[in-house]
Amino acid sequence: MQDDVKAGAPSARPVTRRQLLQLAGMAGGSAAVYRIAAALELLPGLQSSGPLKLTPARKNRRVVILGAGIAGLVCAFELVRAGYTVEILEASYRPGGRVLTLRSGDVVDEIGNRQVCRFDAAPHLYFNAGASRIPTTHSLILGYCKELGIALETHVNANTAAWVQYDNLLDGQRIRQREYNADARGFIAELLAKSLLQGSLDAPLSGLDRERVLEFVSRYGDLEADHVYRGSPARAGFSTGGLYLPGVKKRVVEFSELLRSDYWQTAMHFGEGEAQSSVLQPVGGMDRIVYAFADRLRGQLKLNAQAIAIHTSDSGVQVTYRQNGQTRTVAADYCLNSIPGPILSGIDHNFSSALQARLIARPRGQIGKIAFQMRERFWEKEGIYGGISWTGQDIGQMQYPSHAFHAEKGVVIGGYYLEKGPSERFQLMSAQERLAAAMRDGERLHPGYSGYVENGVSVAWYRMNHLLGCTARETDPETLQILRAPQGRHYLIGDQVSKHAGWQESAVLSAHDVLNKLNEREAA
Amino acid sequence: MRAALPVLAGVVLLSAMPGISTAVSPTIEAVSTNYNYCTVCHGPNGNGNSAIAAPAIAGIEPWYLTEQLTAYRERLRGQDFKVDPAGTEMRIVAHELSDKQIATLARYIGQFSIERKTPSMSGDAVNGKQLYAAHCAACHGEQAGGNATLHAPALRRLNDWYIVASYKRYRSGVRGASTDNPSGNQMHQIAQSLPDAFPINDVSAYLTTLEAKGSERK
Repeated sequence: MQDDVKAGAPSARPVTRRQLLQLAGMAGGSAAVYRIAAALELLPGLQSSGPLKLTPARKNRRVVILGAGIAGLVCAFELVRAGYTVEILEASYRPGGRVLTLRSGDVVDEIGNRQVCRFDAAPHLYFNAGASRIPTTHSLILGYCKELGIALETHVNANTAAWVQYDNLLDGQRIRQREYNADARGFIAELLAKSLLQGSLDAPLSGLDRERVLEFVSRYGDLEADHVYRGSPARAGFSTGGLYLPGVKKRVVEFSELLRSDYWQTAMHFGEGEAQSSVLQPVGGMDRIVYAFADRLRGQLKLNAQAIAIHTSDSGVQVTYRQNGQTRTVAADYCLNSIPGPILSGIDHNFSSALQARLIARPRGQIGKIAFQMRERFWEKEGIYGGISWTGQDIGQMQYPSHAFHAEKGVVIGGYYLEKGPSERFQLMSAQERLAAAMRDGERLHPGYSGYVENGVSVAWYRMNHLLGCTARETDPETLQILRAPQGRHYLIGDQVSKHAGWQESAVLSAHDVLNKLNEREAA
Repeated sequence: MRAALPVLAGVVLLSAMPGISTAVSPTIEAVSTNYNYCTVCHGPNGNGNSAIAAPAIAGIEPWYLTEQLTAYRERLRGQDFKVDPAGTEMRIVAHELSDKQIATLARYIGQFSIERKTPSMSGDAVNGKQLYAAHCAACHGEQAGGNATLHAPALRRLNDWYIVASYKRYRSGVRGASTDNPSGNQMHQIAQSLPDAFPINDVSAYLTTLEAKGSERK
């Protein structure tokens, strides 16, 4: 046809993926096709199986589920609903996995660093030590919240009233996020306006109304009429007055100063993505979701049941487990397994060596949180109601409760560290050392911080019993394909086989996908 | 056939909760006597887990486990996360153990049945046998069953990757550099006296072929 390429001329029609794969095959054989298919994420087993469709079970069909985290609970809930006989084996004394809400008297089962949470017994004094917020785009987990009748409220995520504190910014002085953000935008807008006025920008603006772009830029940065930024009281606030008495403008922080800290790498834009307002949380603690499921699964859930051997075949799966000193074997038609890869690799099984290699390679995430019960909500006196302060100290972040405003006391997350260095340091510390370190860091955000602390508790997920980690991120399509492929009648479930580990929604997606595959096999 | 896990007398393990309408909150004492901690990292039957760098402990001699847990507790092992991250995890585990708990653990874990280990590395077992006889047998026993008098543990119950890793740690001083740990220090010096290119992989391959048995001299 007429679009055959002339030397050097671009094709009139874009290349389809099929054509690309065909070309790859011609050039490099099946291996090349596989490589490119992997890159385009077209591998079998990675395609969407669509929304959950679980038809009523045939007679006497049994499924054993390993792990009572969100993935396991969702699978159990749906399978029971469809008429399957289900058994859930959970190694811990509690269901929920990384959905853990700590309240007065709760034990933190961190190996070698057990703690007891000493918060006052009050509904508003809790600490979501793992999952703590649900983006509104996470429709499946929200769907379960609705179905299970779980009350939700807003979780204030990004809050520009909160602080930014980095040692190389303004000599380590804290500054409100709204000031930082306003001055950063003002500078960038002024820079852009200058370029537009000088006519030094060309190609990208062809077809656009130059004047209108200039106006956009001025509004974006809150520039004055002469396209210069001189501060933005509307965004950064006044130093004093403004509502009734004349307003006194705040100083403008020079961009060279703003540039020095790392705040703008990620923290500054945190509120733009998945974390954007509103995010939601269950009233009274994230584990409301766990116990809503567990309540409906009393006949199925076995706690303190540690799997010690798994034997799978194309006709069924046998799981041997230990509970209260007794060893038992359960036989089922399917096994759905959310045990973290590194732990699973140490259990006797007959999985393929390819899968075993991938299980061994699963990372053990090291993030963790520290929480304090504060005798006074001092942050609210500073005009901070919920949200996150960011700092370059090891604690990384401080999060304020989004509920029970103006109550007498409150639980503050005094550290939520994501970086490797701080994670390694915190996980090696004793419980007391962690609290001391977090109080020291907290002083940089709030002078007098330690004086408000009544007690504290911490969770280092790397060290938590039966989990030994968290957020096992994986994006490589080939690895995901191997992790998701069944081994006989055995499937892995959980966020560890998703592309977006660390979110309940990912666990639900994996659960639904595997249930669909199970359903397909049952229908065949 | 796997032997049943020996029941630890006097241990209180939680039974499954009959119904759960609110968060289950066991006492810290109940959680702290749950010796399943060891099996989470070291495997349900104590056969080790390379993903967590946790070696086999099944059949470990009580005297040796006591020495090592004490060494971890006293910070003679697992001090430096940069060179020995798994060791620091053990240090954390050990730091709150009393002498009595260590003794109880030593008896308990010593009862786990030793199983044949699947090789994970390659090496020349024939060469390894000669090297072992020449350099290691004098302390660790002709059949690698150990020698309590000499503070030399059994080697034939270990994973091949752990034998290699431990030898390297002894050689570099990550393990055994301090004279506060005399038996470890002894091994450190012996490892350093061996040539740079000493094929520890061959020795490890040989050890993996030895039939799993208890230690020769308790």
